[in-house]
Amino acid sequence: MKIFVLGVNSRLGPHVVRSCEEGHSLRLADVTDVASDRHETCRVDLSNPDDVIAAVEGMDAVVNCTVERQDPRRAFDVNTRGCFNMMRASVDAGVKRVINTGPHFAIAGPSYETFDYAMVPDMPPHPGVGLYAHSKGAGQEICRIFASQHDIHVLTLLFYNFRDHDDTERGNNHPFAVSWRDAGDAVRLALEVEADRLYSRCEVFNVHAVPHAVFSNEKTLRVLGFNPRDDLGFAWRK
Amino acid sequence: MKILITSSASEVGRILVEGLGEAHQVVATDLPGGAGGDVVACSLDADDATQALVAGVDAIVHVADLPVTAAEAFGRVDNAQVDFHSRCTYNLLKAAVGEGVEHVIYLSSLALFASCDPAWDVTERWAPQPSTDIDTLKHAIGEFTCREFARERQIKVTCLRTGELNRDDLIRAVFKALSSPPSEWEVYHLESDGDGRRFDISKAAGAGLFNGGRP
Repeated sequence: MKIFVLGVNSRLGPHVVRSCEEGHSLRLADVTDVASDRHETCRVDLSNPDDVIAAVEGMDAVVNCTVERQDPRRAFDVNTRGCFNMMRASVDAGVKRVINTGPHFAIAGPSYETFDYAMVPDMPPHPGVGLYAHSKGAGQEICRIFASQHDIHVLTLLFYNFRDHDDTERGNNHPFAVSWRDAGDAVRLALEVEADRLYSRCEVFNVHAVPHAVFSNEKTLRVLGFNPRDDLGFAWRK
Repeated sequence: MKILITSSASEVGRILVEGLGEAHQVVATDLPGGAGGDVVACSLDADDATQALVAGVDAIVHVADLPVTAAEAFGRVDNAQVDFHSRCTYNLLKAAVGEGVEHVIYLSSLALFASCDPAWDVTERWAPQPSTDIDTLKHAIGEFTCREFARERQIKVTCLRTGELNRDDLIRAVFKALSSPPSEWEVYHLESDGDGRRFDISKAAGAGLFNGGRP
């Protein structure tokens, strides 16, 4: 599969590359210069539609690891309008699958904070009005609408907290955490899962490896076959 | 009541400035590409200018009709529309919350249901089914933004989804909506009684936003 990875210089990007580079052909992109001896690289500003159209050409799938959390203009440029440009270019280029990534609160914003447990990723999205969550949530809504209207699958992976796989420190017991390398593997699984295993053309997954169950990862385990190498449940053991 | 009307240089904006101006103190604004005369230019960025624009206002009528010149200046119309209906709308509402504005009326479109079978009796309870055509998608993005502010109880939002609407019906609907803010988020479908009205407007009629009921 020819895969275009956006935001490869993000924290998540290198782990996606590491997980996907065996067996797939990668084109790596970021808004900053990308260094790679092994893969095709390019510089892409997701808010520039011409950049995106040129870079998506000839690809089978797109992975979006881009993020902007704080700048009030760039957050919408990247997280919202960037998703529009990515989806428009992907549809026009005949791309069949997009893997979008984002924070858990792109779906489960503050109005869900007081819910007890078993929050699934298919809840009605309510990111709230925080800049990061809202701009990502709007981007996800654009992805959903494109998938509902065109022959393209969008699989969105939601994350919350990451830790290094060899970090065994107790106390960092976050209720929605995954190791970086398992996060990269989740992206690969989302790229490779057969379309007939998906209920719709837009599916969202909670990606974590903890037993807390405030946020359910059952769908991720069942549909994607996610089997994390790093069980972070140790952080919860006495 | 002091009312801010956005996109005041647009056709709908001009109608509302004139129609509401008899009963209310109206502040007309538009993006720099559309402003002129008595229309205050504001880019709706996350800055002091937007904050000053909404200060002291009781309600906002967000017409949300991007000036052609502003769209051209952006390079691509579709990107300009996404930016305006997401970022600019977000900045407007964020500033409004900060200044204690109570109520926003967002003008959306019944084009969100254009793909529905005309035989279906579509009401406000239906989920919009927008196409990815930017003239429809932009309203889905704008509604999404407004709804989050309303659902978080940051500000009250009335969403008026309009089809073909004559001048008097438009003014009456907005005028009445201004006088009865919702508890958080309320949607009304509005379409004048022309040839073959397609959508059920009985909710708007029941709330007094419309003179008549179903044809």
